[in-house]
Amino acid sequence: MLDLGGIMFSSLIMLFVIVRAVQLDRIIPWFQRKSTVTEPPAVKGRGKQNLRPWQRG
Amino acid sequence: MLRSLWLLFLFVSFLGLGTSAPFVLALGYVWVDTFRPQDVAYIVLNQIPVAMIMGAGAFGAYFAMDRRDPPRPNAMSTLHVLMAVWVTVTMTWGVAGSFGWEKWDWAFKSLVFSAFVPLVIRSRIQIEAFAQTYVFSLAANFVPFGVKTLISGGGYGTNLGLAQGNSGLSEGGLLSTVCLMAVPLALFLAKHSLLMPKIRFMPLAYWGVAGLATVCAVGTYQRSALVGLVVMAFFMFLRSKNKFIYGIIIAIGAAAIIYLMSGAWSARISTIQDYQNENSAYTRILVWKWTLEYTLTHPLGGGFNSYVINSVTLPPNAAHPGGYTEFGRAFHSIYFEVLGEQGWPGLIMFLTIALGTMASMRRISKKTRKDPDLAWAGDLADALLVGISVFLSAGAFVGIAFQPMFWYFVAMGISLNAYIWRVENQAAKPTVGWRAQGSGHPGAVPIGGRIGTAGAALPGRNR
Repeated sequence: MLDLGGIMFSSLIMLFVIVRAVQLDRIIPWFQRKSTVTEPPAVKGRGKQNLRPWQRG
Repeated sequence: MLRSLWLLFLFVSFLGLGTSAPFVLALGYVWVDTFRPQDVAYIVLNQIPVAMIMGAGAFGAYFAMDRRDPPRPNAMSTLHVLMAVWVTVTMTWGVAGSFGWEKWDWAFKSLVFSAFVPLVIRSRIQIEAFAQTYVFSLAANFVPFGVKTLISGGGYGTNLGLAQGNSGLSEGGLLSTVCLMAVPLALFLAKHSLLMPKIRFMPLAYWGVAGLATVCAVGTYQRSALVGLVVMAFFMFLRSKNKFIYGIIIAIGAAAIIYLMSGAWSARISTIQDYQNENSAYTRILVWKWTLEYTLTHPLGGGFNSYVINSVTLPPNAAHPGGYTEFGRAFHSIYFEVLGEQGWPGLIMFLTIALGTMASMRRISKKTRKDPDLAWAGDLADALLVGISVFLSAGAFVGIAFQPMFWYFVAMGISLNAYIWRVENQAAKPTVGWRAQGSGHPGAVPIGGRIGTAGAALPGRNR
């Protein structure tokens, strides 16, 4: 039972690690100092409501 | 049956993901080589050459799809390849015949694969994934072993892990050493993992894994494990930033081991002092003496498993009043194993690789200490430094020089060194010519000379 638990524990994490590694390796630049995923800046509001008058077109 | 199907699913997952990201196949080989699913599966995986499939896939996929940004060859990687060549050359005068070739078969594969690792493991994510794969492939063995030790107290020669028999990870000396080598890596992952979700208790989980690895090492009752444990604690203390808290943790850990382990453990460990009356320890000393004498007449060594030709005469005891001679006793030390098998050139190469990797990790640790963006690299360098120190100290009493775990640490060191070099040099020098095509680096100068725009086609990717 403990052996089975050890196998399940290790293999589930392995599966998670490889899937996540494939995803992140495509997103994060390979050789840069700061290897964090940068989120795009949040946009406030929707449509033209929050735009300045001269931006509304 | 379900266990076998699950492992088959995982094996196929490695192969499937490897078709889109070739480095996954290299991770798959580490998993197959360390965890050995073929030994615990009842169907399919136990009937096919899983390591050969994964290894061939890793090499094939790299050469067909992934030959970008290869690291610069350096002294360590060159010596690594030379070592693989040298162990083959010494087999031409090998004294152990087919028994020697049996060891060459797996040792050569370990050397060649670990020399290949820096080619395919290049980015931070890949380096971390490699470390995760190593730790969790071993965890399948040491987690149940550690839990059983906590319940039963462990025991010398008592195999509580997954592997059966008396070779590989079922051999206490190897298991305890590689478990202790995994401890600093697990602690590094607790602090710097990008792959694991950032949830509050994740670092605690890694500390738990490191704790079970330590308990497993202690539970093997190996004397070499105690040596490794002391060296690990000493080096981790030296490398730690908060020495006071770390000192308290070490003191509590040592007290827990002394009070919780049974009298049988203390009795076993105390034989370290009584080496002249302890048969196993004294035989080792005689074998080491034989090896030194042998290499005076055979400086190029006797090839793999050359210990089969040795003979040592033990002094009289109660059972043998006239003394007695033993034949073919193993080296029981990485240094004498390499010396007896690969001669003085092999030992010099081996030590240069080990000490050179340690010096290189020390340099990276020092260089990145004040750079918060590369703090992870400094901590990984420290973890590898501690791991190799454990191997070199505990390995002085176990013949595990060609087991892949040490060579994986060397390979991770080469990968990390190459990573740091590329980070520094890509920042300093613009990428020019055809290599700049598709480069996301802001300083890239593609053909034609326009700066910093060529990466637009592949956002967020350097190549």
